[in-house]
Amino acid sequence: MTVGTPATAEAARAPVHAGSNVEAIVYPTRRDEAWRYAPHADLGRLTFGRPADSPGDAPLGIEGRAPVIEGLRIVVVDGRFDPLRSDLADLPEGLELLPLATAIEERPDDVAAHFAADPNEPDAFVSLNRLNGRDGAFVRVDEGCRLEQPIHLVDISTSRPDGPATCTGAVIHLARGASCSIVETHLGTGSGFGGSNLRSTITLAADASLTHVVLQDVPAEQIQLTRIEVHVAESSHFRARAFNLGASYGRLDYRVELIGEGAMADLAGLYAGNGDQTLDQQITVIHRVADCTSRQAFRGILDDRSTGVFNGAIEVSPGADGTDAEQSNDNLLLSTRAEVNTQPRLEILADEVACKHGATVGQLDDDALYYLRSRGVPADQARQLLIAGFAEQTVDEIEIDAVRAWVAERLGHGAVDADA
Amino acid sequence: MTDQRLELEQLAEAGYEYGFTTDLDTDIAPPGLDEGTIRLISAKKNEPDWLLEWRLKALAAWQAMEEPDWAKLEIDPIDYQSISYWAAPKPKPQLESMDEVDPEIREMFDKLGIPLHEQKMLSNVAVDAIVDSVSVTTTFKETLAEAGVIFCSFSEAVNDHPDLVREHLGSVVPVRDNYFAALNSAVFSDGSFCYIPAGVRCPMELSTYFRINSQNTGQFERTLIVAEEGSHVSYLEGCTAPMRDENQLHAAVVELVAKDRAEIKYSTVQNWYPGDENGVGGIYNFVTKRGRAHTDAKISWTQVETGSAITWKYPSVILQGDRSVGEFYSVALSSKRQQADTGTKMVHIGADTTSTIISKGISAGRGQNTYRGLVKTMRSAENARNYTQCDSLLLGKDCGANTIPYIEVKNPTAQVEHEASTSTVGEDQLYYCRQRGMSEEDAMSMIVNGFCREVFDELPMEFAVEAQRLLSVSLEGSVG
Repeated sequence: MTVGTPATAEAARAPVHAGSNVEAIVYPTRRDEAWRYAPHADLGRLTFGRPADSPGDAPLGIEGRAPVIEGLRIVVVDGRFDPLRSDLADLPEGLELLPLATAIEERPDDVAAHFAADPNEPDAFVSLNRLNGRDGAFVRVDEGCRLEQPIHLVDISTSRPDGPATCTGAVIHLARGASCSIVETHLGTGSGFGGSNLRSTITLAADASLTHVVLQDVPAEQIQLTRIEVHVAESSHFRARAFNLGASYGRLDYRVELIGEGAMADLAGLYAGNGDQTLDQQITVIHRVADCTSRQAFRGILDDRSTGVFNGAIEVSPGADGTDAEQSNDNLLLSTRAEVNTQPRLEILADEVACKHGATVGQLDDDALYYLRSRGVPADQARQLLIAGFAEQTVDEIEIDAVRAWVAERLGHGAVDADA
Repeated sequence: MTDQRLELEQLAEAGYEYGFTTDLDTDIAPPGLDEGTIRLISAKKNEPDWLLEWRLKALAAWQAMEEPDWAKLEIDPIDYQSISYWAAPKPKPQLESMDEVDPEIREMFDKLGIPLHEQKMLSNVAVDAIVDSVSVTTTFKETLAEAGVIFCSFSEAVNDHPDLVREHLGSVVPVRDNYFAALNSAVFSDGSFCYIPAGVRCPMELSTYFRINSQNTGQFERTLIVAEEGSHVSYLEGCTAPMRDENQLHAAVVELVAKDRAEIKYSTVQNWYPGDENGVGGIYNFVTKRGRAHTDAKISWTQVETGSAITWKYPSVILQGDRSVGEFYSVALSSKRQQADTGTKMVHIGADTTSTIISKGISAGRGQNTYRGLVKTMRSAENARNYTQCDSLLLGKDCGANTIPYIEVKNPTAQVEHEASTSTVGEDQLYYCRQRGMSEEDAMSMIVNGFCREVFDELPMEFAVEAQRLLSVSLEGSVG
């Protein structure tokens, strides 16, 4: 069941036996577009297997590194639900919130799609999550139920030297007309190599509305893979806010399908790297039917020797007329060794469409720096102000105060705002 | 208006007007590719040993390579052993002047609209015409010689200027660069060679005309242009092929070397036979074009791609020297069942290098059009600048447009901008034109030409007219 280091490129491409579920798992290589800039040697070091029966032993207070969000919370440590750190008391009417392991037992039909093998899915790590994931969160919001309080899903990975990478899952379903906010926070402890491979499957019925926030801040030695699959039905609204901040290799992979007329997807994100980090955003928005709207707006700030990757696609299927899609990716390089690879793609097979995309790469504006310094702002602070200004567009779009404060603090802009 | 209308109708009926064949007495090699084929080609051309060695090295490299499959193209498998790698009109006695060129060949070029004879007097364009694999004639040699410009067939260059050829051949596109470049390096039969001495501004525009005439032949020509320090040249390239039911392979390599302060402008109007409405026949146009720009040099690619069943082509510039400039202007049209995967690569190595990419893709009928481009700034490319604009126009329900840019930036002082849009011709635009008495087809033609204006403006005059005409013809039947 354990997948070890492939010795050669040939071995890497060869199918890996995956236990009783007979399914060929082929590791990606640099030749796979979606994995072009990934650290393949490190990915090969990750091991996979079923999680232990009980949650890992994370230090007390680790949740304190997550934003302080009042209300319901599911905490998963090393792929297992941790009842002591979670808070499932006083569930409001119309909400079902339970550990995924419980849902597998009690509601097998509702989680079947999450675990169903997809022959068209070429991604090895998605398959590994499906095969090895046994716990996480199950969220179901009933018809017409509109929740005020955000739901917080926290995933913690303790890097144990010989433990498998965690494979946590979240299954989220909003029924017709339902609405809520969900914050997924990904944290880790320890200083050794490790990894987590998370996957959320989200379905929005007609007229539903979901705000889904991802805060990724695991230690810089760990690999973090996050895959989010969304199906948006007619007149539904999926709003994603993603902050890809931690990990040696932090990968955020959205696959959003607009399957009902008038559906809308609005994805915005920020990645900020330093040290030797590689932060990789893989975004695919597919317009399957007519008259849907989508927006992708991702910004990157790269310092030291960090690498930013944006591979965003707008795919418009035949017949999806009236599509209105937009995509932008702006990057700020702060160091001579930092690097950005951006690939904003359009694949369009319908004719009545309006699709636009744009990408920019640049550094801090010398004129703006000079302007600030000439008004007595110290160089460092002037730099910080401009960086904060660049990030602000994304940060300001978060509606949950606690999350906005957490992001500002994490980016080190809290102090600047106070002074300014 | 009536005249214009008539012309359009004529054009529409004409279909692919270059689809005639000419019965030339052709010397053709049996199909197949192995070491023997290479030796045959080399012997036919009396090549020196070093070139034979070079070809054999390329063949070995090619045999070890895999056919690329990353492009968004559906390519029927190519049987490389069923192609004939050498086809040439049978040699005639040495010619004294232009007038002695085989009348059949001259007639063919007259049909193509490039009467060598007349051009000699009327226009200021020197033409090197290549039928199948062999350069047939080069006009204007004397005038060019006065300026010190060498413009001749590749074979002649190998004989007359071996040192120049040897120094630069493969210096921009190495033998192992890619599958089709390796194939070309092994079997290339002829092509054009052009050398502009230091400080010389080439007195006229140079032009090559390619034509595939024989059946079951591939065309593998090689173009090498070397512009010495401070020189300037504008080079035009046009292509046609007869209508045939089977696919024909065209795998060319173009290498440009622009030394310090030199400028090379390379324009292509590509109108190979695109196949019919059902995707039968047509040319596979798999071309490697690349230039190396040294300090303060400039290389500009302009292309209008309306033909070929499949186009796989990425004219590129390696911006090696400081302050060098690269440009790419492209119109690519895919109608019927045509597929095009085309774009450019701009590799910024020197400081203060700049590149501009303007790409216009038009998809009609069941055409598939992909822009694929790479902008790469290396760590050394201080203050590099790139501006990219890719626009796609979709005309019809069954076509597709893809935009796949790669942007890789390793220097923080670099500024890279990319913009792209995909849209259709608006009802309001058409309505406005119709209201003023234009037919729908005229209106569409005008709007599409407007969409391409930025690129057409970069073309030399004669080519711009031809390009507009080609576009109108190619769009016939797919509009409305």
